[in-house]
Amino acid sequence: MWSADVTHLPGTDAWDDAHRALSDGARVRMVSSAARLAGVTPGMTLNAARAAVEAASATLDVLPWDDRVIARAVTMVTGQLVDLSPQVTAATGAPGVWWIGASGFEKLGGERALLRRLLALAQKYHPRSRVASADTCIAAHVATMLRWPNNRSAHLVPPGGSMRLLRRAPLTLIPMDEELRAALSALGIVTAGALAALPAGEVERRWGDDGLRAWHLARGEDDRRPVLAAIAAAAAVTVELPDPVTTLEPVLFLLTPALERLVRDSALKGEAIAAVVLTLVLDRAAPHELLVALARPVARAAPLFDQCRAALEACALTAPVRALAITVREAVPLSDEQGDLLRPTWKDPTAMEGVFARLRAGLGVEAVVRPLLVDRGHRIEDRAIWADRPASMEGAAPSATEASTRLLTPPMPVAVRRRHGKPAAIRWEGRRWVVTRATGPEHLAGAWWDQPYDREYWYCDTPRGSLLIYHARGTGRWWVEGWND
Amino acid sequence: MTNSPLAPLPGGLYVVPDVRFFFGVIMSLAELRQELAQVIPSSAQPDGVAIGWAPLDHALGGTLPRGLITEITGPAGSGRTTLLRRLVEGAIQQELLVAYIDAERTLNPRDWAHLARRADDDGLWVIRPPDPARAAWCSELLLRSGAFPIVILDGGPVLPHAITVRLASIAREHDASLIVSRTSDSGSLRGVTVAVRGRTPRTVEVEREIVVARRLCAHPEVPDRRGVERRRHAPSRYGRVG
Repeated sequence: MWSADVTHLPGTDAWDDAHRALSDGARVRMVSSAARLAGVTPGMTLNAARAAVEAASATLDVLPWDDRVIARAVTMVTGQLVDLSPQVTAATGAPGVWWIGASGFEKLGGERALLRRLLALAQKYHPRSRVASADTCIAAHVATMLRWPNNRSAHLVPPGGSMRLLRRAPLTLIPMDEELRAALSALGIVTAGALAALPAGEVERRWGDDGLRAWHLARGEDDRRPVLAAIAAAAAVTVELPDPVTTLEPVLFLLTPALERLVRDSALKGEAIAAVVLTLVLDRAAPHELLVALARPVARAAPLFDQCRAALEACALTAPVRALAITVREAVPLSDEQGDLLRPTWKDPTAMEGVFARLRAGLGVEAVVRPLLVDRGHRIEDRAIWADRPASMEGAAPSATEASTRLLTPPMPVAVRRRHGKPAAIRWEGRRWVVTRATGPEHLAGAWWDQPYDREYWYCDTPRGSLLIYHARGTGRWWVEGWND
Repeated sequence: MTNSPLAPLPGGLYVVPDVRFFFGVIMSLAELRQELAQVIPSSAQPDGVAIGWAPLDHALGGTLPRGLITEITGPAGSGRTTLLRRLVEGAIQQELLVAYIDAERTLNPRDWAHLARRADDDGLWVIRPPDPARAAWCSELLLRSGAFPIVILDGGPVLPHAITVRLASIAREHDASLIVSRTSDSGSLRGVTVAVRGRTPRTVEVEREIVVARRLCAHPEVPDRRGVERRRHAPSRYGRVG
């Protein structure tokens, strides 16, 4: 069964009580309850709306329609709805309406409990929000629009009761072309039940496919569904965006509550998540799947979010994103590993992997490294490298009084003036460095068949620090390779 | 003790049903650790991390302060990198994880290889951003992860005040030490300045103890012949012998 949750985005009672409308410049997009009572409907031209309100001796307050603000608000509410149901779809073109999957809540208090939770959330944004649950989207939507005894805000349409509910619904609640609606009204057909009673062939002959579609809706036959027709697996969350987006920001915003829900559900089953599949449903393109496999299973959303975020940031979007589905690919029983909060040296390995994944996604895979000794030659750059793999060789630690070296990669050319064979002055980047003491030379040469270099290294102490320079004897040029620090 | 929700069970066990909602509010790890330290008498712990190198420990007031920013400045060649190496060595001896952001990408891996020789995840991790301007972002991520008790930000542009405040706040929240090391144009080559930012800021000069430069070729089969080349070419004061 599906439930529809209707709220008005501006979100305050005072807003609804005044004659207000949101307009895109030419036409009215959204109206307050007071304006609706005065005869203003979405789609009217601004002049017609103003005239209708003035006829009721009032003034229409027109506010600009800001798509970005509306989309941000819709995304925010969608993120909160994911906490209540794993299937959430913000209705396209109707901000303030969400289709929410209501299947599988038998063990959680049933649909009535879900409706109560949905209503509590919706009423935080608007006190007159309404929710309804029914077999079909059209029945749920109509149920939110009808007036119920005691001004009830939540309504549960019993299974199979959609057609009965729609029978007395006014035709204005059935989505259809305005011309068709006018034609039906002219024939005296003003309820959905009256339309549903017409022979299908006659409706199709007169009004074609549009008429037949409206006829099916009036009978409660609505094939619209949220993103998935059914939840494929228990450990899956699907979130649809109100409009396709080209940036990852709204997707990441929805990712957090979705992962929190998955982690919580898995933990309740005594499982930790080892791998998830992120499916980006793209607009007019094949879905894009990303597998996020964790080195260690996690039962917390934060490290999982870091890994998923890193995977998303690394992928190039080829089309706007319409929806996000997250499925748990692999889960393992929760281990009994326990962190020690009282030990300052205790570390969380999953947190470390999460932050490294994020850094690698943002800076490149070679950004997170460890020093690794190698045996490629005698040159300073051949003795050790930065690598992202664990060390296999052990090297001697420098003594406490030995200086650390800073290396320039690649070395930079310098001009050197010699005196008695030793460097006496260095000109580097336009500055002159007077050498007070030159230590060297240390002569390094490579094998002629492999690395035909021949260098004479000097440590040159200057009033501004100790530079490491070398003389390439093959070319006769001098280079600065680094400095002691 | 009687008011504490941490009532001990038989056998001295303590049960925390949900860490995030302990005491009814969402707590940071540092706060929770503090609360636990109050109710469990044997959990006394130092406020900071002792490095074990007398000049530095003296400069830092005994230990490397946690939850604060420690700033190390000095001109190039003043021994800043050597001081950091000593600090990392001391931290790793105490089994602390260290994240080192090498913003200028000039760190020599040979000088640090002994700090990451184990095959597991312990020890030193180095982050080398392709753009030095990303260093502050790296340090924020590393601190926020809570995985590293010590994060070193070496080089990169000077941090704006707003970012410094934010990093200090994150370091305090995660009970981590953030060490910011940068080159200053002024100052002497005899040592570096260590400044601890916080409620009671203090600044101390640490003199360098560098005596020798490391030999370039450390291959065990290659003898140390520094100076041989110079002696061969330089004219002998006593003339040719034999």
